[in-house]
Amino acid sequence: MAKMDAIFASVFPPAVLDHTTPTPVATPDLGFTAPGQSFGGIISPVGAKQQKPLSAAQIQVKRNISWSTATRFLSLSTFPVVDLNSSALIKGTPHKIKTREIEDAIEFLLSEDSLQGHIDENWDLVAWYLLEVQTHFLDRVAPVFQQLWSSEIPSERGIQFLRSIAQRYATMQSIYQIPVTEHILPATTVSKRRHTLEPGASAERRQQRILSKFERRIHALFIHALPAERFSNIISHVMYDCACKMFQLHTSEGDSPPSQKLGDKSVSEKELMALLQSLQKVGLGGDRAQRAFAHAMDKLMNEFIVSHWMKVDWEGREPVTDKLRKWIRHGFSPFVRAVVRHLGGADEGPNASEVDAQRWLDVAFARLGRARISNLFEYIVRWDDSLGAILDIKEYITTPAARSFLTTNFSHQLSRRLLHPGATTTNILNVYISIIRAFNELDSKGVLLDRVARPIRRYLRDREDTARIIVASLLADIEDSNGHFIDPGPDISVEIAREMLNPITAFEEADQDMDWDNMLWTPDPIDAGPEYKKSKSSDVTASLLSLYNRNEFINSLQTILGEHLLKNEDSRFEKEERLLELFKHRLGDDKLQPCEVMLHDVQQSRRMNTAIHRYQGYRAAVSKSQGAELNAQILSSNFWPKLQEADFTVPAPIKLLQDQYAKGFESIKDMRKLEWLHALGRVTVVLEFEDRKIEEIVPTATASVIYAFQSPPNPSNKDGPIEKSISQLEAELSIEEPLLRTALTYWVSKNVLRTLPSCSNTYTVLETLSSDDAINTSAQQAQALAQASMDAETVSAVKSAEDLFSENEEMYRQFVVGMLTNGGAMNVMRIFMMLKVVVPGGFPFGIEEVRGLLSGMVEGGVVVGTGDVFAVRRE
Amino acid sequence: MNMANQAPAPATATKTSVPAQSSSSNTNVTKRLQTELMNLMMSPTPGISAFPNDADLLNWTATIEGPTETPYAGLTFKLAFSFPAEYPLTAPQVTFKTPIFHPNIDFSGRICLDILKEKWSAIYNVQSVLLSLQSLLGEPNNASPLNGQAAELWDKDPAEYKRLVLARHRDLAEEDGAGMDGM
Repeated sequence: MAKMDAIFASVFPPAVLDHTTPTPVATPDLGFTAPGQSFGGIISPVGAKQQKPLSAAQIQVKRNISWSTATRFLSLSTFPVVDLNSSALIKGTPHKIKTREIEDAIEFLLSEDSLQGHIDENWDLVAWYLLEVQTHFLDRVAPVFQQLWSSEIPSERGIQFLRSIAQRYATMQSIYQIPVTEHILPATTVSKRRHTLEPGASAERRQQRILSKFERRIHALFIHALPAERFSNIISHVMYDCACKMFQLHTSEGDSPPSQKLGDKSVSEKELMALLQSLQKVGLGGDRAQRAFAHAMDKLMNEFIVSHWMKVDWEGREPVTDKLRKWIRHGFSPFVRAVVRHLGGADEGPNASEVDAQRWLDVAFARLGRARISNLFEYIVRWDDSLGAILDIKEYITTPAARSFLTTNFSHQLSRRLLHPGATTTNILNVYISIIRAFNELDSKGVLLDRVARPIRRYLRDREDTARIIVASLLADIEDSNGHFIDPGPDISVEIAREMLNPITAFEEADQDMDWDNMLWTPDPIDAGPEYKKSKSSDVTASLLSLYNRNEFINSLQTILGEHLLKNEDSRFEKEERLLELFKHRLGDDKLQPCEVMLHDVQQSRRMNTAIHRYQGYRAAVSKSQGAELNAQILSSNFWPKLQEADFTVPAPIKLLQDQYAKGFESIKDMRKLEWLHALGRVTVVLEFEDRKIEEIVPTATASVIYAFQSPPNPSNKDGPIEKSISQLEAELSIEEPLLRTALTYWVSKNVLRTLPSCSNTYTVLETLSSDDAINTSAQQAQALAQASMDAETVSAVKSAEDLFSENEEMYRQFVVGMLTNGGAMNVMRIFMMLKVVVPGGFPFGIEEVRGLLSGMVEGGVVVGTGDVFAVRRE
Repeated sequence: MNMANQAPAPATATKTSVPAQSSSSNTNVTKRLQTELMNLMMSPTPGISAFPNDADLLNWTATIEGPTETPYAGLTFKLAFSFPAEYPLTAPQVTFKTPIFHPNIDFSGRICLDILKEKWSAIYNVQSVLLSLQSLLGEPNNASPLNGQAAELWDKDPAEYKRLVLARHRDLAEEDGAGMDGM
């Protein structure tokens, strides 16, 4: 078909409008007067002799003819409507037969003869051809590409799409280039050879120039035909996708672990490089693609940071920064360089790549660090499995900006996730300890810790139970004798307890800044304040003990230690001794004297018990009271916290034992008196019934109550069952009613006593267990009650704050009256402050208690108050 | 029913150990004053009262009521106590804040009383000083008057004396806007 066209065209030139019809050859050449010639005159022989082969007009004519011939030959309008989908496009390219005539025409047009020394753009064959190409491309080819782009391109097919685009462009480029390379360029060589003396170099240069100009124009056309943004997106996506595959970023959990090493050349990399090369060839590389690549790499780096490669190493507890460094140096950086080279970027020397790699490394560390910091709270909670993550952050916080980012970000996390009423004090303490440990790893100088710990410490100080929990945790046992962990309950911080298991390290570290021989010395971090001194806060116990001022701690230590010592009478108190030593180290010896005395007391008591048990009078008393034994804890009343008291009559045999014990004590310890605290005692009671035997350990009061049922209320009525009413018991034991009722409920719950059906306030002993339902149910009810009261009872042997307040209320009132009488009217705050100062032993309550006290006094008519200001009442 | 008892009952032993004395004299003063304050609070004496002004405990304000059957009956007087660091080895400085007409007290409140001067002894305390001053109101020492007019009138013209006492007296507490009660 094409051949037919060609044959036809050679005979009948196609009527093409945009090709000029040359001036007919037959037109007579009238000629123009040459310069120096008279117009219209005879052509002088002199002039004919002049070396002027062709007149201007002749050249003009010849040019016209040549132009017509050449353009007709080079015209693309005959080019078949391009079917871009056919791969055989090039084959279909018409190979026009180049006649001698055409060759000459092209040659002439390109030779300098035709130009006559000046360049006329209208007669530039190359420029004309470019225009021709442009017209053809825009008219015929561009719409096809437009159609291609208009369709939806699935992201996974992006690479194929780009490849096909590149391929088509390449085809078009070669089609357009054929006339240039085959017809125009050879002609320039020929013309040069003929007309210029210097062959080779300049001709070559000219050819090069033409070719590159041509390529530039074609590439500009190609780019123009592209939707720029979409192209960037697609290429960026393709690059990113390929890089992800290359570095295996999306291996899902189920897959076998990637066998390939990071940075190995993979199929996808080769594919990508081939594509980039082909794109670069058709002019789609360059800045545009490089920019897209930059986007892709930015995304890639972020993806890598969160990929499985950069997972926190929970088992190995190693930082992943080494991996990251390796990846940047051997994977990322070479890849980037290769791509940039393919996209026509300038290849800098090997040094440049080193500099770049370092820069990328910095960026990557910063991103990794930030990613880790945003999860820092989790890492802290899971310390010390998260050591790896902490070390990652450590690589990042090398600049003051990074450090302040860390502290602000983490403080924010803390306030949002930890320092709120929903978190238990134990929990906060545990996290605080983890923070201390983790930040110690992060920044051994402690500047960062100092910053993030401040809000926590402030918050902990505000919590009422902090001191109690700390001291209780320090005393708690978290391991049984075999080293197994036992759960100590919600009020004990396991971390603190564990800290106590560690050997006591040297507390007083030498001042590091003054130690001139310390080769490991480093200056304080740049963000440390001028007066910054590394506190001892890196040591967990020390920082906990420094939470409060000493007195508050010692008060609560005294209370808790007292309770603890009274509870654990069997222990050998090694732990307590150790703790006391620790406290003495931290808080100073002088203030801990009471605690030492307390510990000494309980230890001394055991010796005292054995000593007194050998005492004659006591032995006699034992035999008189059916073999009951008495062990006493002898407490020095001056040094113990206030203890619960309740007075009642103990059973006679016990009384006897106590007296004998006291006598024995007085004989051993001169001039000292014993004062019995019945409320704190515990009694092992064995009850023998007709059908059963019960053994219980109960408080002394409960034991005394059941003992009262041993003897009948009045000796006359010996035979009947023993029945006693509450008021009777109250009188007999001189016991307070609530205590009595608690005891009675307890025994009812144990099926020892029951109320009389006739009178609910009278109790009797249940000598035989019957299957009576009524009794059982009442026993069950009582059981629940007893349980509740038992719970309440075990709370504290030491007096609670409320007890203390109500006990001292009268004294506080006196102080307030004295204060207001002499000082005039005062507001509540002032009264509170004064009480804190002047009350001996301190005023361990808050301002709310003061308000309560004052309102009580207002009711009592002692003071008058207006608003917050109170004054004594005038008579 | 049989019963076997084994009771480890805690007992307190009262030890006679004396707490370690602090060497600092300032602590001594504070401790001593705290004890005095505590005694005043726990066993208040009717008609007298005293309380520290602020945290350092070295400056107190005291209140005494005029003894009945004297020209001062029904009046209350405020006094300022200032304790030296050597207290109780040296006497506190005591002045009347409330203006008073009295033979042994001058118009700026200075008191002429032997136990506050040469006869001071460490066994005196705030309470005893206040009681002495209260009795001084009823039994002035006219032999060495600071206020000659008062000394003269005390015996000569009780009515005029009483008038001058009342004229001189101003209730400081009223200026403070606070009331006073008889303790």
